[in-house]
Amino acid sequence: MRYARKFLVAFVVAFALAGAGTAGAYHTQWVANNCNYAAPTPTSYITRDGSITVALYARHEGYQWGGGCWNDNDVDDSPGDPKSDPNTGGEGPDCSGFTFKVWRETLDETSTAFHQWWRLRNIHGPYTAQRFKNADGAANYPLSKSAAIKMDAYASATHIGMIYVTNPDGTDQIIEALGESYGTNVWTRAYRGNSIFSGVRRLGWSQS
Amino acid sequence: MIRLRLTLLLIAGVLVACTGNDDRPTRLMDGSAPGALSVKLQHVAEADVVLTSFKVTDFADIVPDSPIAECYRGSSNPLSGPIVERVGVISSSVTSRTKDGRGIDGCDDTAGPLEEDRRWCGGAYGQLFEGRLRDPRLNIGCLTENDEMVGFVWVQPGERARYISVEQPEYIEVYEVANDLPVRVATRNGVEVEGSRASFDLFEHDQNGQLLRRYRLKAVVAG
Repeated sequence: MRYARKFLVAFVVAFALAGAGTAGAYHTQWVANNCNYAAPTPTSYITRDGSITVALYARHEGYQWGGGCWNDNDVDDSPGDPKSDPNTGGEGPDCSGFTFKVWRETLDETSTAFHQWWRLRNIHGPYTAQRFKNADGAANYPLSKSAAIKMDAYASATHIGMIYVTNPDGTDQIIEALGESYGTNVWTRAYRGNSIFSGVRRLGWSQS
Repeated sequence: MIRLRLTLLLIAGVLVACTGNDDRPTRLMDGSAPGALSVKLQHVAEADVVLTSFKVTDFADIVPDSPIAECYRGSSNPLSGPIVERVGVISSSVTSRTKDGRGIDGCDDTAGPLEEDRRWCGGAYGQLFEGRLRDPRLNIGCLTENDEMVGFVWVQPGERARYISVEQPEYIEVYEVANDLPVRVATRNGVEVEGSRASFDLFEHDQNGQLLRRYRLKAVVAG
């Protein structure tokens, strides 16, 4: 009986450890198990309304530092990843990767062409929020915040968010990949009136 | 005949022993000659070493319209402390801590093409967490004169580190730690456009040249 009890305790401990190990591994395998590195699809134009549709696919799909891959199940499939760690391989974009993908930019910084990167295509792109703020790259140019409209962006040294809807009171509804604790979603923000943010626009929008 | 062969062997041996690294650069990006390292770095061949230069400028001494002033013009992160300017073989940079102590701000440059009328080819900002960077803030927006992509990162030196060295294709580029700031280093080796990532093979040595650690820093564009 004594040995049976010891075995039972050992079994329970082993079972718990196995479960804990699986949960830890789960956070680091989402990109490896679900995402691809397929070639992008060149496209001849993008529209602001079409890009809003693209952006909304990322809503509720989580956040990953340095990330750029998500599905469309409205669930963060890798919640609670350690912050500021690109190696956790979880679902979702970060703010600059989100903007790069929604704006259909290319990896060639001298190009203004449009590349469609599909949702499960893992890509971040060469720009940080700071570089978007500086309007680096041929596809990005600085914009007066007062002139910003839907799918233009506000960028600071550490963050970028795209306009979903402009509000008459000077705020905007911003679609953004905000952080591991918040995920990717739409929030009302006062970036327009905040001096640390600059306006930036993607070159070449077509009329919706 | 044997004496001739021995003589020839002796001459060959002397030539081999005297041959340094012919591929080691003799000039930094600004045209200056690299200085001489005052210590021997353990596990680093002296013939491969290129010592980068640095200068510390006080915020109050920034000259208007100078490259430093251009870097921090329009920054929403006010500075107050010293600024470290660095010049390497293919790169230059400026780095400073923000006035509120929450971030590291700076600019990068190479001899390659610049966008529009810009003075710097890129830059970065990094948030500090308990005084340290969590992310090295990779910038891959700069090119050499030959259109090779250059990666820049900040290396957070260990407590005793006095020298940070980067293994380059033909030489070892050595940076001296200054003013307790992360060290901005560059490489054209190991930059991957597709993944927006770069890897840096690094050495850290103490003030006596003792090797503290050798490691590969892998960085991705993020944030």
